[in-house]
Amino acid sequence: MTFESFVAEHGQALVRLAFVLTSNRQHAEDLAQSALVDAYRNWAKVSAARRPDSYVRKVLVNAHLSWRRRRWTTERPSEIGEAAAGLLPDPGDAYAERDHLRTLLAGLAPRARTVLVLRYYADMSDAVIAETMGITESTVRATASRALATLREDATQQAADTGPMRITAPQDGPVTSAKGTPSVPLTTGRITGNVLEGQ
Amino acid sequence: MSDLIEQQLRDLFAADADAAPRPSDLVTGTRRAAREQRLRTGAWALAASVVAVTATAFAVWPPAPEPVPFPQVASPPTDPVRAPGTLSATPGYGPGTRLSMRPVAQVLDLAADTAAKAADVVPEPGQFLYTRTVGRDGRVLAERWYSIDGTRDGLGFNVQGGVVDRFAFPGCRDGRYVSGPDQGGPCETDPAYRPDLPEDAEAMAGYLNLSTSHLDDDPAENKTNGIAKNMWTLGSSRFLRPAQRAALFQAAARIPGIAVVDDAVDAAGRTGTGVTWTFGGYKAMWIFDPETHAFLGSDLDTVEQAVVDEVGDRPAR
Repeated sequence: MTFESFVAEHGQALVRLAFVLTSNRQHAEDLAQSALVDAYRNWAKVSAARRPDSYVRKVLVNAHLSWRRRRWTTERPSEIGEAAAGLLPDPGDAYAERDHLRTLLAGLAPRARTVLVLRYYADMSDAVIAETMGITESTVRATASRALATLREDATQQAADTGPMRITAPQDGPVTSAKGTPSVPLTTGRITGNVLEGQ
Repeated sequence: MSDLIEQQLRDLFAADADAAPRPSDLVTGTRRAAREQRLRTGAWALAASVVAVTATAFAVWPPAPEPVPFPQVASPPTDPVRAPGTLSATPGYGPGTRLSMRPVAQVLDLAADTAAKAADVVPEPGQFLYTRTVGRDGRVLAERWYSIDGTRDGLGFNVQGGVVDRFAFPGCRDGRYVSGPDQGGPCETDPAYRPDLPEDAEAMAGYLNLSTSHLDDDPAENKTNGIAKNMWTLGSSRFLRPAQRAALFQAAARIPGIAVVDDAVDAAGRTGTGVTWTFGGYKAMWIFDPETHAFLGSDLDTVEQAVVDEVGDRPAR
């Protein structure tokens, strides 16, 4: 595989991952670019990996976490909202819901957010997330389940604060994806409906 | 089944991904940035500033809008195209999966025998290898049209989180790209079908060894990694004639640490005999029919292949 065909194949997916991680167009482009520069300079090694895209994704994720440590530690939810202004608006309740969730996410630690993005956007297994972030699988599981618990709590709190719940489906009822197919089971220790999710 | 907040996260991230910027030319941008870094770290401070000025001049130049490759070709569906396979926590493993004591060469020899008996079709240089990769959830992960002789433009789709990415593989003729952002630039032809690929296990092992010779000075693990990765690529995204595929299966028996697992489960949920190996922290598994020894798929996906005449042709199913 040449570097060119790699970028043709995976470049945009990297930009998308970077954007979901950073919520900032400029940071996303910089982040993807820096991961690709790393890949370009080490192309012999990268192209020898079974999944060169996994290698570059790992570089990208770790650059994201270290950049955050260095430069973006002052980021606050309001800035996330600003970055999100460039997003496609979706109507009504769904928009308000997402906006609220975005604010909650911004309140999480960068590592926790990154775990959630890798799990629910990139559809990585906990083992692959662990390998990507250089942490153990049990840390991934613990981080994710703590983050989800925080989000659930905040969502409930927010609903209680503002009266009518913005959430439109019963909390413990069967939830299917937008396309009507069941979602992949995951591995945090929580019983939802009649499905025992891992642990 | 996931709970509400998890579904909301999926939806939110997918919506965010839709709004991601689309940088106009990542290849040129990356090359330029890499070159600048190299120059800056070297003694060529003057040259670096010239490059920087040139880069700035390019940066303000409005980039030409990138033409959509093969606009007449419809994107693959994002809905499932078959029933989901097993969604066990460890891909390839189901309730009955267990390590087997059988020698891996025995399993792969049977697989090679079956592969060698497949119909022997020789594709034309102007044709394309079509591949479709379907994941464990039954959704298309990727589609490709690779030029058989590597001189024609190919097309690819990647599907991630319901978002479809379309991209071209520029053809390479007489050492020059025939299209794309680097049109006219130097290239090496990468044909989907190589008539000169070995047809026996020994020669195939030699070929794989030679194709990873740039890793000879690396730790042994990197070399193994490179060989295993090349085998994976040959098996899934190259056209192999029956004898070539048989040679590939037999050569795989030499991967250090490769083992047999009985009642492995492929991405479509079919049970078979697996051969599995790990490298670079990843597990790979090929799964074969336990009766016919035909290759079924891998732990993570199934790949269908066909030879077609034009980019955009999809075999009837």
